[in-house]
Amino acid sequence: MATMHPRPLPASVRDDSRRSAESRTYEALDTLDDDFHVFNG
Amino acid sequence: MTWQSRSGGRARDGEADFLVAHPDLGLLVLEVKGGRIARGPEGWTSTDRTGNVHGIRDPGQQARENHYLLLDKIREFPGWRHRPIRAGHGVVFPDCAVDGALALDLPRKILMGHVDLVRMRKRIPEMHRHYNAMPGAQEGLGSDGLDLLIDTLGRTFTRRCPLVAALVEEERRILPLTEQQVNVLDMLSRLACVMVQGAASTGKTILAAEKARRLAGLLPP
Repeated sequence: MATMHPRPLPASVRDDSRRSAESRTYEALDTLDDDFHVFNG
Repeated sequence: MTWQSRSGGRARDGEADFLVAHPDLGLLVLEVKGGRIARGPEGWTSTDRTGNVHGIRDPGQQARENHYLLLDKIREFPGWRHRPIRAGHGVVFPDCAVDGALALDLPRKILMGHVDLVRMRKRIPEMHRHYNAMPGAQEGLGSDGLDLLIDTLGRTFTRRCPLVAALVEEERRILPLTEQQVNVLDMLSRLACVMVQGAASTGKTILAAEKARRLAGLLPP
């Protein structure tokens, strides 16, 4: 599981239907191996 | 994530939906575009679930520009060893099927569509390898480079409020003196010694503080 920055995804993004593509991409990137770090926000 | 960097001698704003970092593979800047994506004579568009069509920036150009702006920013990090690093960019269309290149600057290898979301563990390393196989590919971040990136981009903080700011705010919140209190204070200016009595929360301390403030104003600088 990747290290996500931030974790969890802020509610302001998660609950915004206009940003659902970003939310789904975040969830998909979370499945990367442990060595990966993912920055968002 | 957003940042401001100096590029070509001037400040420029950069923005990326995601930055993916790996100590050996390097960096990837990802641009995400939702909706049904199209490119027509008027440029790129995204159509949302309700059928509304929105004009969008060229996602390949956007990702590429932000990739280089981010590298400019990273070079400004205090403690960054001035070294070239492996970096690339990609575009994600979570609502679209992607089965080939979409433009000359958007080959399949740097594109992800709907089905790629469930193959992220395979697709992201492939994207890294695409860039790392290019002539002149640079070094990975290394663990020290990754730590610096985490310290700079991933840190959270709470800033302390200086005491003076707290005092200013407290003073602003103190209720303004009533007309009666002002009259009492004016009267006090002619008396050397007075005793003020009153129940709790009737303003004795406010009167004393205001009197002290006025007396302080009489002192020479």
